[in-house]
Amino acid sequence: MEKNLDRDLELDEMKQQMDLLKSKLDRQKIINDRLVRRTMSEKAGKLRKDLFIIGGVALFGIPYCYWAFSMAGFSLSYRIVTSLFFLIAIGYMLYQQQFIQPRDLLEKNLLEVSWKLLRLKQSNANWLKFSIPFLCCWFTWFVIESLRFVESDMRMPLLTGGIIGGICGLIGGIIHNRNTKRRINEILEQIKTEEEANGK
Amino acid sequence: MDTVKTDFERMVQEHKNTIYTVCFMFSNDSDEVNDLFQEVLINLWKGYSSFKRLSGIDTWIWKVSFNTCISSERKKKRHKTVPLSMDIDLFHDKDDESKQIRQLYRRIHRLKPLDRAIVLLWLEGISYEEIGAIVGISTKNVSVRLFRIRIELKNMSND
Repeated sequence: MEKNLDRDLELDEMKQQMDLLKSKLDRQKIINDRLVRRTMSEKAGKLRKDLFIIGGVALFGIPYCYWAFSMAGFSLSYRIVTSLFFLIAIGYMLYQQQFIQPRDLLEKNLLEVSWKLLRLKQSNANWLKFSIPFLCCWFTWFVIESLRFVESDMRMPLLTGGIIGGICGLIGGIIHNRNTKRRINEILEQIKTEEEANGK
Repeated sequence: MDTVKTDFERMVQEHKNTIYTVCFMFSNDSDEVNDLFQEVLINLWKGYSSFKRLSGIDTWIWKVSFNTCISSERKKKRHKTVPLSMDIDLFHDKDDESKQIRQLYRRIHRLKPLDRAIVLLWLEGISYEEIGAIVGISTKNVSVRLFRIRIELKNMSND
């Protein structure tokens, strides 16, 4: 009986210590700074990947469009302006890279990162202010070139192809822009939540 | 996807004590607790969407936690540490509570992994039947093992 009592006292002590452990843990919170940063970094990685893809398409577009438009009989100035636009687009993509380094999200101060992301948002908005009017003018010029320079039996297929390509490009551009904005906003929101959780 | 993520986060918050306790009892130091804690959460996340709710959520969490810790005990592989844990260091904190908890830890940690799991569940007030379901042995086996564990703990305190 006494042995049993001794055993029970020991286990009682363990139960009490277990309760102490539980109450201590109740007062803690999970630190998930790293996990949040990793999630943000993955989102930033996707943004960079999109930029690289667009940059790659633009790089391919320079020789291809030059060749295709020269085969179609488009003017030299048109081909040059098209190539220049692609070059500017590539330069812009490279410029944007500095704002979304996934490594920064893992290591750097989050306020600094959010500032960079806000600059990225602004930079995107500035690009649209330039690219949309430019592309409208460029497409108008495309139609003029198609009607003026291209042989008559090629005109309609070329125009049709151009219009379809234009629509696809427009839809693709809208989707890309929306996704980019959404991802940036999600990262900014996560930074805000994390800073609030840390009492900043 | 956002709903799943929110539900998962809520589940983790509700059961963080259980998960952390298991990781603590199967670790040798603070870094290892953090490693295991992270690993358990990852395994819970991986299984969350396919969790069929045939058993209770508590049982499932216990199972995943133990399986992760016992597998880790076997492998003893150190993963890259990611500081995902509680804001606590039970191995080094100097308050009286932590000292008491370390005494509990020393008793339990000297047991074999499976026995650690059984005694932790028993200390939680879980029935023998449920203990058996969680660790994968029969109820009778749980009873026998618990008897042996009690003797072993007794012998430890006599040392």
